[in-house]
Amino acid sequence: MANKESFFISLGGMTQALKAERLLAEKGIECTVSKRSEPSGCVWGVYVKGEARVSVVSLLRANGIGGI
Amino acid sequence: MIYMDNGATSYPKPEAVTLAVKRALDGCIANPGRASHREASRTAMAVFRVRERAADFVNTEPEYISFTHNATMALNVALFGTLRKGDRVLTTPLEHNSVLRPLYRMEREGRITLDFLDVSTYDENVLCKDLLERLEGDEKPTVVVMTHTSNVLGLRLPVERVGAICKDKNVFFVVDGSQGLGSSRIDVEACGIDILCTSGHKGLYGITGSGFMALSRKCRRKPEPLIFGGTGIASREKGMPDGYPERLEAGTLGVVGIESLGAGLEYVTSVGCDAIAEKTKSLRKILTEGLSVIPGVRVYAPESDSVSIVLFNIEGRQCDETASLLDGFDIASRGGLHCSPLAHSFLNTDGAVRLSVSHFNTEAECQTVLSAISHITRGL
Repeated sequence: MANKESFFISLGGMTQALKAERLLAEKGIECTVSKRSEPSGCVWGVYVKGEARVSVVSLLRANGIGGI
Repeated sequence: MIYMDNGATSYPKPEAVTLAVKRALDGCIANPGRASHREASRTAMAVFRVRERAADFVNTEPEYISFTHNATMALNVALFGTLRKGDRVLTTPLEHNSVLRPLYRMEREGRITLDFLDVSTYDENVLCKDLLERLEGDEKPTVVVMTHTSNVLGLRLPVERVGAICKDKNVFFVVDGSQGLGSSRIDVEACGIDILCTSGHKGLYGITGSGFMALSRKCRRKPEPLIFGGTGIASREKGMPDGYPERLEAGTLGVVGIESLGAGLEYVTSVGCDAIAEKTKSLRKILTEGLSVIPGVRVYAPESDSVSIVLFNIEGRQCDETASLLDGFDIASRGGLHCSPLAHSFLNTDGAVRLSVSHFNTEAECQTVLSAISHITRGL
């Protein structure tokens, strides 16, 4: 069973982050749109709590969000 | 005043649009996509909702909607950002200068060759046959750029049929939807459109300074940016970010205009594009038929699928003089070439008077306009 954790998924721009938030909310997954610094500069993404990272990433990828 | 210059920008705006502007000024106070404080997040969410609404209206994804200041800006990005050296571009004589001038510029630079489809009969079968014949020739077009609805005649061009041909023959297809959206709901997937550009302040009832470009999900050429600058992300990178819409949205967005566009889209959706088209067609019919029986008036009116616009001249008067005389009757019309010089060459006019209605106009207003024009022809 995958570990449930709190983690940030980098999605690039605000639009992708908001799109991800909308999708995750529809699936009942709690998340917050937030921004953090990366070597290239700021990046928008979602901070997810209490879920398995791999399943959230798979869900976003299946819906073509963030190019991940 | 009787306002019949909706082809330039629509008036009045729905009350919901006016309220949205006020709401945006009071409630969308921060810069979206930059900071992460509450106000910035609220503004970003408001912009995102309009992006979703626009995407739904034309059937694409929210990230493929890039907000612009007008259709001209969208078309410049769509054309300069995608056309390549050696492209053979086909367009129509009914295009606005927002299409023609970018194409002329690239033709002059030797980047593209440019030719025009046959619209002389107003018959879509003739236009489509012309396109198909050119696609069978040695110099096959690689790009078609076409208006959805002429801003001079109100004539709707067969975008869906042309799009199907372009899709089948792998021809890149760009559409100017400025005069069509609102009285039509353009589905970029169903119409085989790669990029759709539009203003937000005409049939979509947003305020001036609003517009957008929509890429289809299957867009064959994604535009390179023309405007470079801050996006709030990847700031250490020397180039623009790879992801859309940020790649095409450098600088602070026009949030108030975007909010007005969102309210306009909601309004148009609630009224229904078909209902809007039906109303403007009926008003156009009243004007066309009324003008055609006034001695000394020449009406330029194709009987094909046309909406909203009536073009005419009064014998012995310059078009701008007629428009000015109408202004004296408190009627707003527009004389001149309407930024579409080839359309007027095609009609063999040196300019004409355009009456362009919205669904807010009334039959009584049309009768008042006809009466005023009758007075003018009699020199009263």
